[in-house]
Amino acid sequence: MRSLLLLSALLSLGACTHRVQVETKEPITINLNVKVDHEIRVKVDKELDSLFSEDSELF
Amino acid sequence: MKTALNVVVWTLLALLVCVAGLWWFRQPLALQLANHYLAPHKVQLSCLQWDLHLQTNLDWQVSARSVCVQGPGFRAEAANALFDLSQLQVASLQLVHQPDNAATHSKENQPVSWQLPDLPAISIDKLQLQSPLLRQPLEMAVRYQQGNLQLNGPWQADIALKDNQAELQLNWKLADLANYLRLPEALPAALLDSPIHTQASFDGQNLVATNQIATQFSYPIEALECQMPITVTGELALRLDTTILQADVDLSALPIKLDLKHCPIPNPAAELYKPAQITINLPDIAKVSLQSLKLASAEVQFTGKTQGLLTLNHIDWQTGKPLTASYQLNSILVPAQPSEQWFPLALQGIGQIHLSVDSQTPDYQLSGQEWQLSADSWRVADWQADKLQLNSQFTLDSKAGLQAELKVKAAQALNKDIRLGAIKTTISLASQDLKNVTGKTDLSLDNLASPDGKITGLMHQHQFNVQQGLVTILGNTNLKKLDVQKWQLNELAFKHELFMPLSEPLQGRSVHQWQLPSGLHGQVNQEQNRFNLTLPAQSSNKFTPLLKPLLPQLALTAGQLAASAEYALDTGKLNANIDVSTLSLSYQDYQVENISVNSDISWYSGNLHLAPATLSIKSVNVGLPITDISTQLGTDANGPVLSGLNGKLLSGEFSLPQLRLDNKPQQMTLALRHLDAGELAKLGKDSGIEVRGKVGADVPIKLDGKLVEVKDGKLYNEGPAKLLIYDNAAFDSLLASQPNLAPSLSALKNMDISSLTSTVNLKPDGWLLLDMKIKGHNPGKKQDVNFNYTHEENLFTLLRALQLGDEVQKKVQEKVK
Repeated sequence: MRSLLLLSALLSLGACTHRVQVETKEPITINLNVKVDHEIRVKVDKELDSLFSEDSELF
Repeated sequence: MKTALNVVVWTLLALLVCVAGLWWFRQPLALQLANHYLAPHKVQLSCLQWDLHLQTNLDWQVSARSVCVQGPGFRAEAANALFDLSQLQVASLQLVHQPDNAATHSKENQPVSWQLPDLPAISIDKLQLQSPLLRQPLEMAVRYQQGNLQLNGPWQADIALKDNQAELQLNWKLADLANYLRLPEALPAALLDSPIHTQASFDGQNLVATNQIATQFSYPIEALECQMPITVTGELALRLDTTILQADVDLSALPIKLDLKHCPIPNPAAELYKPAQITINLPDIAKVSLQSLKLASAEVQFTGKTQGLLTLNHIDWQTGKPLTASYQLNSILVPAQPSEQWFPLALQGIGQIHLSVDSQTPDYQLSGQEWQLSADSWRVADWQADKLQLNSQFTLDSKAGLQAELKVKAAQALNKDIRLGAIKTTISLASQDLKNVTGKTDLSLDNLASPDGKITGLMHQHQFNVQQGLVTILGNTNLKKLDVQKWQLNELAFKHELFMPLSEPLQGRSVHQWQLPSGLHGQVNQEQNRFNLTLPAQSSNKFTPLLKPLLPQLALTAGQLAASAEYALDTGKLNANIDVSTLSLSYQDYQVENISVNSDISWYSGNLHLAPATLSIKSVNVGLPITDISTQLGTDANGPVLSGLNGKLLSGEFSLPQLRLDNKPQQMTLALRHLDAGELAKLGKDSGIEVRGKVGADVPIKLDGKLVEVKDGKLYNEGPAKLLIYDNAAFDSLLASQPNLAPSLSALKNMDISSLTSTVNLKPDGWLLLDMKIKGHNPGKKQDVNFNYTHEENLFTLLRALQLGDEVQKKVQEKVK
């Protein structure tokens, strides 16, 4: 179970970059620019190695 | 003295009276006297008129105006005969054969030898023989002198009578017989005119003859419209026992050769395998009588490329009984020109023949056992069978008809890229009139493999009936396993009913019912060149075995499906109806409830046509519940299309004017109205952000195959809205990272939105570009706020990441379990 948690935690990671600009004169203007880059990395515990080797069609 | 003289005179007178009396009554006296001596021989003299003459040389001569003799089987009448001690002259002798008057032939009451007496010279100017066996009386002149007998009539023959034997050498031809004997009408002239040299001897009981024959003639075969050359060269030996009319006929030195080269057979296969020559040999002596025929064996030899021997054994015939024989055939059929389609065949068999020719309609029975036709490799059209073997036994009877059993087996058969392994077929049939046939067929096939699939364990049985040219077949087929592309189906069952005229098979009709182990069943009806497929309404889960290989994660959970289709072979037109009723399904994590549609589909001229039909779906849950979906299914000039697609989501509604169901590029605008902004915000799964109000959107979508593009989609608010941010980790993190901007950014935490406009773009590579402009007012801070937000994210990568995570987790959990 511990391995599952570790796996799911590492599956999808997103690199989020944002830029914020604020103009304080009335009315205040807030510019928020967000860009999300998804990177897929999978890290598998040794305990699961055997399971994946038996089912190579996972990926 | 006077008394003695008187005695002499009276004696002379008495003698004279006696002699005169005898002379006066000579005719009846001679008749009575002759009959007295002829009686033991069962011969009777019925007329006799004769006279006695004294010739100039003082020799007595007997003249007879008529002599009539009758005996067993004959009657003879002589006229104008003269006889003296040196010769007998007869002007005419009529000899009549009377078989009805003949005594029963038996060895006991017939002479066993012919004792020829010393005969005077005999001359018969006109000997006429009459017999029911002769077409006309046979006339000839006969001369005999000192052991030499000359016959001068249609034939000239010299017969030597010596040592109680008559020896004859005669050159004759069948044409000579034709005027007197009934010969088969079809005998060709060349045969009739062929010379025959006969050497014969007769001992009073046995006629022994050898006939030298050398003839070649052409016999007309009307069925084949040809003249078949026949050669008969050799010797026919005959030994006839005239007492019992039984003959030994020896044809062993007289082979009959039939040349088949000039008689082409219309059937191409028969012509190719036809032997070049047939030779008929009778190696054993035939025993022939008027009442019987016995022949130990007869051989029919085939030569040429096709070679073989048909042997007839124990040929036996007796009056009142059928002719019987047994036969044995051994042959190798070799085509004249071997090719892929024509190849050597081995044909062999044994059997019996019964032929009765007594009645007007010949009765016959031909039986066969252990008939076998085999070929290492058999090819026809695109078919090839290896190690083909056909075994048969049959009985063909003129009254009972035909009964036969055929067993066909082949190690394997090939048709292009279709391969059939280990085929066994048994056909049993019976026919009384050779027109109407009943029987059954059992077929087993170990496997059938083709590029499209594989069948394992095929068993087929059917009963067939041919009556008045109509074929009726009732049968069933079971498949142990069927692998077709992605499908693997076990234990398939079919039932067949077929009715078709032999002359025009396509004018018939047939019904084929089938059932899968899941209970899914249907039938195909064929009537002439029209085919109807019917799938009666049945539970949708029965379709799962068919759909699972295509979409493993698809499950039909409720509802019913029905379908029917009609296909016309001549026009290539297909009409079908699909009726989907309250169908529910799940696919991956998606749920679809209550799909209903009744659609008429047709296919002609290479195009698919859908009659307008309403498709309704109660709900689709793809993480975002969509309900009350309705659309019109149909086709236009470009193909299938969904029109007026609409439904409800996010407490609002959506509509799409048209969605084409093909891969052609298309553009459409998805209209979203009255969506609940709060529910929309929750899709982001960001806690701590609350939005209130209604929004609408117009999303121009461009589809090109699998590529999706959104260009300048508009999202806007429908009336006032509100944004509340509290305890949002991302926002709090933003504030912490920008402490100098935090006071201004905090204005977003509570904002009454008066205007929301945004532009949405989705590029074909998955990049989403959201440009949102919100104008609002923070009532707490009494401050107007303009919030401009842009968001860039690749949706496809996001979806793939989420999907992959789910898949991996699910697989691992399944494995752990």
